Amino acid sequence: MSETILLTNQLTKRFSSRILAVNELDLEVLKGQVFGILGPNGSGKTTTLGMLLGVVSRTKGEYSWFGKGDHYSLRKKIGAILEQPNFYPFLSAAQNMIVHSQIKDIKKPNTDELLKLVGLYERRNDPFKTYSLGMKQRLAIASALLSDPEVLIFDEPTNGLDPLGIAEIRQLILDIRDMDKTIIMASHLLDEVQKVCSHFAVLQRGKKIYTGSVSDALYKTNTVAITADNPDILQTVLQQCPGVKSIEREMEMVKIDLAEGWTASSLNTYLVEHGVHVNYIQQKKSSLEEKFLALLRENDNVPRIPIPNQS
Amino acid sequence: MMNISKIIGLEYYKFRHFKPFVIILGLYVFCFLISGLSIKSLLDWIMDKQKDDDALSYFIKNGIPLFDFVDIWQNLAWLATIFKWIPAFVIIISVTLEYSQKTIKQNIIDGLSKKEFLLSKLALVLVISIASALMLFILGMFLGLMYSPVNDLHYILENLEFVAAYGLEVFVFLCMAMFFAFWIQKSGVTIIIFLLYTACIEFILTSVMQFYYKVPVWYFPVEAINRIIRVPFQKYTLEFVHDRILIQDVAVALGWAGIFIFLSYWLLKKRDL
Repeated sequence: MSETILLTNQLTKRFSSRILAVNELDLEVLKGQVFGILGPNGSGKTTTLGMLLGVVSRTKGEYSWFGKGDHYSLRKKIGAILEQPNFYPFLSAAQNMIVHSQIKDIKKPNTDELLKLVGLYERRNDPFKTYSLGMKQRLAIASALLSDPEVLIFDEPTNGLDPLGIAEIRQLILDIRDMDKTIIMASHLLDEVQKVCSHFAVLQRGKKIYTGSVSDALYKTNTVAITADNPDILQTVLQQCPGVKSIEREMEMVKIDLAEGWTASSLNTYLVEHGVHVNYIQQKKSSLEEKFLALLRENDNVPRIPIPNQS
Repeated sequence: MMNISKIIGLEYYKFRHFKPFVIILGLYVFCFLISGLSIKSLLDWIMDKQKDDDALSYFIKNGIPLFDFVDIWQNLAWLATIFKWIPAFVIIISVTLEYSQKTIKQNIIDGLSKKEFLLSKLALVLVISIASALMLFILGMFLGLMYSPVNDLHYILENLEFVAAYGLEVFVFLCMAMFFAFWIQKSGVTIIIFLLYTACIEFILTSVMQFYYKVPVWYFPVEAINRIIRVPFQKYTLEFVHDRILIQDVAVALGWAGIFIFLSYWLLKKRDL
């Protein structure tokens, strides 16, 4: 059994009688996980992290870091960035790192090493205010790593960055994951969670509507895409097949949902037996985006939005 | 758990390279010293202009004993209180900047408690207060040894409590500035409201209450701060003045310091960042 890093119990934040930002949230994050907190804007991700980091007061519930409770000194073992990177604008990267290490009680900070890791070493003596957003974000990651923390928390780390910056930050997060650290990351970018996270929870209006591992969520789909020389015959045959739950025609391609116990290959065998030879058959992994929207739909009658095709 | 050197060091590392602080504090020292050093020549010049004034004839003959030991400490301490607004700006900026840059939020996230954050600001207040008292002591020694006819060690050290009283006055005033900063959080608005209140609003209010309704006003904060060191100069026209520090004045001022510190803590604790 893996060590528990974070446990929350009925965590609730009510801003006013009308606004319930986080609603009885139970989360468990284990050591070594890259845990994504997913949700549309305003679903309570940042508020949740704010409560876990002591900057937002709780209305109800409790949380425990490393199984030791919620004492502020436990945060010295957490590297966290909420929303924007916040630093003293007139201090350089190196000087800002000194302030951070002073707070975290680090006697000999490995500032140079970390600045090299995030590629800011050359600019370490320039004031923070002269940095681009991407550099600010990278400095934030470097200072989050200062205390050699067991767990890192990122809140929409790629928000507002250009594609190159996004790629850099993602690579950095992957590098940090490989350092055997636990990562908790809030994001509304599903693609990001899919690429980076091992586990995730979905929040909607402050309520947890799903939690599980990313791979489970991705393999559960049974959608198969098929094309044949004559799509009309293909469709007729498929309509009679007991393994097919539903059929959807997209131009030449037929998309079906398989019933339990059927796979793409057993379907192919069935089609051959019925005289249809396919040109193309592929079992689709759903993207997390589809899963996410499906979850939101299940829990709320969001009107169906066409999903852009990503492959 | 609490680590004093960490808390003082924190402010030092945050602001040692912040130019506005260096400039404002430099200005404070400069104004303080230059005015202290120029009073003598200014008074001499006024006396010279007013040669024929009968009322001043006594002083013209003998000079004003402004810098005589024993008297000098209260005189200088009272004169120096006008400069306490300058370090108040430093405190206001140091607190409001943490809000505008959201660095207070990051400090808390990084594992500082709200109490430690408040103590770090209080440490800055304390250091400035002690430095102010020290500066007054050095200036007083210098001017006294230069101009005072009495140079007896016994007289030099008498009334030295006014130096400590000046430190206390600056301390309470800076605590008030700190509270305004924690309360309002925006630097510009804080400075305007703090200036308006300390220099105008309370003065008008207390004057009206005192002279119109005959109500005592000793419990107002700025009034309490100003009362620590009473105006010494009427004694030269042979009026009665308090030439001692009154224990009740100190108690009221300390009470206000406690209230400002507590309110700052309460606001910090209560509000989400």
